[in-house]
Amino acid sequence: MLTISNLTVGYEYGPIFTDLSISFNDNELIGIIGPNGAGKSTLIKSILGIIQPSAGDITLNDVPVTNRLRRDKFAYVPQRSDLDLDFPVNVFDLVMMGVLSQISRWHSVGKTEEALVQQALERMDIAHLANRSLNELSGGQRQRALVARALVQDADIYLLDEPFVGIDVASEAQIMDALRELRDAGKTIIIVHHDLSKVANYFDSVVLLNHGILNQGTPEQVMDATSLSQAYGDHLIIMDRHNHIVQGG
Amino acid sequence: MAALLNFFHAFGQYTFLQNALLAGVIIGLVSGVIGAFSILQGTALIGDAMSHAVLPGIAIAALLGIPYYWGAGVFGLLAALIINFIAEHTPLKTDAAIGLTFSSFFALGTIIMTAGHSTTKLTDILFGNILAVSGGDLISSLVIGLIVILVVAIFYRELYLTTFDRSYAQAQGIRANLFRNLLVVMITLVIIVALRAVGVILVTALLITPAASARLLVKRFQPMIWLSAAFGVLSAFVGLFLSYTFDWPSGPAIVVTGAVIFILSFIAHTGLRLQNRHA
Repeated sequence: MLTISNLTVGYEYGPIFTDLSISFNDNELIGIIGPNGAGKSTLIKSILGIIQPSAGDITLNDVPVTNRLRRDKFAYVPQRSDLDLDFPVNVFDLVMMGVLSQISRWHSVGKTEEALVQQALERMDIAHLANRSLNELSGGQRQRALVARALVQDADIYLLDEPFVGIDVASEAQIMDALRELRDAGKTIIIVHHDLSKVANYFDSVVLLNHGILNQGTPEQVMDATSLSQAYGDHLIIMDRHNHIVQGG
Repeated sequence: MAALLNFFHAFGQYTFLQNALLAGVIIGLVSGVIGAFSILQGTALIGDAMSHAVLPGIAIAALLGIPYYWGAGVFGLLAALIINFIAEHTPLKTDAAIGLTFSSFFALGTIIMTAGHSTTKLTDILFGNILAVSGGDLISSLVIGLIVILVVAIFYRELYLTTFDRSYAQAQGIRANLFRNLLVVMITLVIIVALRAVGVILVTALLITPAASARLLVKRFQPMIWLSAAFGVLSAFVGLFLSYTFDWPSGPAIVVTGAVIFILSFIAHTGLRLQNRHA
């Protein structure tokens, strides 16, 4: 179980969270939802050590999360827009990055590692794009490459930041399929997500976030009108099946 | 052809030319390797600033009678620290911090050098004189060059991942800030090694031009490093030949050679792109 206790994170202009505490169950596909600027990315970046919290503890099965533990047990899929598309790497190199930090610095990359990369490329159906540069890919292909890079790591916790933004339906389905497979293999998958419509289909549990945890539970429990309007305020219109406005607007 | 034979003949005869050529090879190699990391990380201009900012260090070292590289190293790193400090703790952007720091250091260095009646020739420091490289200089270049290459070889994966994506590297348990700072230290070492040959004004050219040329010709990182190093060495070699043969100043001759390589790479790059578009 991944547990966050009393996390306080602040940028220069004030805190994003104060005293945030939450636990993520093993073996679940977890969605983190909330409006823009709610701190969804900040939360996973704090877990990954990209942002230094000013206070709080993060533990995995009661063991404090250190850089070493991050390397061994955590895999990260950053937002696609953070990629430097002009960097001289091809898809194969990108996916290989997931292996590099896992092997000893004195051990050079060989057949075993290349086979791992090949396997991940095939799993995401991008083996034929292995020699393409990043700027020669569509958004969906690029996202699949990023997921493949996480797959080569034999991690326990997978954290994905907005993986489905602006990609094609087929890529989205393929990524979701791979993530479900990981979940079924006992992994924990935490996804920052903003498209409310698919929440019920995608996730085993959902965390509703807006500068703090507003609600956590099954999609049915969390996606009720009261919690959502608390999170999104007037920016959300909730409609029923017959397109009647239930609330907001 | 006769000029080339003449050059090789002189090379066999004169120690100063052997020293110069060996120094040139070391400089071209390390600046090519470190430059590749630097331009991809977007820190090329920090290297530029640091190379100008070493001037007061060199002047003070000359007054104290200690080897120039101590002064240069201290002031180069000091400039990098000040630039980072200004950029992080004020609303100013990095380019303003860079411009402010290096011009101030450079001016200060010129004053110290003039007022101190330093015996070191200002033009040699500004533009370099690879033909004046002594045996002692050569050994220190060799040692520093080896350190740089060793550090890159040992921490290659960390430097590579940090250069590609700092956040991702951090999420992989790599102390990205540490390795970014390590790269700044490596840039300082390259500047120190290259100072003698091309001078403070042109050091930047060695850090940027070979790497930039290589980037235009290859699509993967490791080949880019190798090619960048090769271009660095080639620039030094051809530049030295031109300098010896036509009596041109050595630093500018090396830098102009690098620029010609860049122009050729640019033409090849454009040609390849057009070809791909029609294919």
